[in-house]
Amino acid sequence: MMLLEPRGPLPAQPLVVRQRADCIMSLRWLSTGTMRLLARWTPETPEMEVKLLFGKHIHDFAQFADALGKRVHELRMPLQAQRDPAHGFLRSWNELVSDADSTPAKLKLVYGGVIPFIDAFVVWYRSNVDPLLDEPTFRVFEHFAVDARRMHDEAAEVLDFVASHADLLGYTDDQRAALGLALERITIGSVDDFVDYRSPLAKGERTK
Amino acid sequence: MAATKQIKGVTLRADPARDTAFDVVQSPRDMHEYVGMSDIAQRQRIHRHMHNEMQALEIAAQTLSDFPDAPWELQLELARQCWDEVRHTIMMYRLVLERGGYKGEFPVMNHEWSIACMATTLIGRLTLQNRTFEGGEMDLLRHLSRMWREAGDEYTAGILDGFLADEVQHVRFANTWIKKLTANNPLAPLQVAEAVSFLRRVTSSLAPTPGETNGVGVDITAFTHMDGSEFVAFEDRRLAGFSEDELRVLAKPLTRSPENPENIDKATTS
Repeated sequence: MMLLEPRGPLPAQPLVVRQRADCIMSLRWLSTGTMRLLARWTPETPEMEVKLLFGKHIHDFAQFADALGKRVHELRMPLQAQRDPAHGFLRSWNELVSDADSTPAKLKLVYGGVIPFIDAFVVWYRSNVDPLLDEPTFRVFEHFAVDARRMHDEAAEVLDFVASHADLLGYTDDQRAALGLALERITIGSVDDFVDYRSPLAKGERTK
Repeated sequence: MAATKQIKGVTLRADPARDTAFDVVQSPRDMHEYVGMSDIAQRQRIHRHMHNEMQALEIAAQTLSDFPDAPWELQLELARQCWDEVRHTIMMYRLVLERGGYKGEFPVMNHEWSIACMATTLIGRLTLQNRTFEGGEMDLLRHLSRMWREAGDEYTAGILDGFLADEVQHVRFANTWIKKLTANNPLAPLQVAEAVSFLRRVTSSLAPTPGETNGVGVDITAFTHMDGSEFVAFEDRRLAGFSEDELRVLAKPLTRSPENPENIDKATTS
């Protein structure tokens, strides 16, 4: 988009300020949740190279959450506020997290699930807001997109390493097969059903 | 309730997960630490440092996971520390490989993890890991950087000096946050005291007996002294937020060896 170019087609009913805030707060929930998940998994994961991968990406998700938390404050919400996603998404997420009990499953949830979901949500969000009015949010998304590409590439590199050392790491045939699928995309939920719009923020949802 | 282990009658946090390459031991007696700067001693030093950086990553990550209600700005600091410790681990790992070594070449211990992660309060965790262990790491890095330079290895000396700059920040943010959290919490001084008392108990219980040797026949007590544990990097500690009163305590003859747990108290709480 050129700076002074006439506006392109806009959504028929763009999201209002509160709805945009709800979207960003939900995304912050996912980002802090992933950060904390990686933090829990870092000591629990035996493979050193995967441990280092998770450890590095804790910081990337923290930075994304921080930027979202600052942006949401600009949309009339408390600084660093976040909110739980819609109930169906939350239930599905909790099941996915509880099922991620092996290194390949953990890799798949983050790099095949969370990052593609954020990508998809950004595409959906873009089609539902005025891009100039909400340009500061897009700037946050653009920065994360660069980080997300790098995170995915780093995960692929580590996965290659682990796969080529599977014997030394004592992997079973099943684990080896799961490694081959570890970066395949999985659906962690529908972007249409992610956000619980407009209900008042509960006390716990303001938790930083 | 976190899993624990018993070592010499002391309850410690169970080890973090390790891949099969590592031989995890529970006592300095079973470590293979060498005196001096022979080829194998250099490789072992770097290997141990690599593992210690990974342990620091795990402690910071576990702290983030255990204290989800910590102030967001502190969570950001811990997340940043995780990234720093990852970079340090990778840099040490590269040095291990460049010298013909490999992951798991020497036994490793999870000493700091096992102690720091027993703290059930955020203040206790920051006191043990960042202020005490990483504070000591600052002293050690200044000393080791000089050692490598004297051995003619400017590259490794430069890396360690770079690590030191990062560690100063890890200690500084802990000092800052311990003060802030203490101001809002009347129980905080007790939590600090509890953490320090635990460290003193563990250090005393695990202290090697005089003349005790490690897996390659080195006198463990002598090794502690020769490896720079008595060195205090005052300027770095000043940068990290230690007060002049605290530095005055550290300036007194001080050996933070297991034989002198009282000095650990002073260094931690003053």
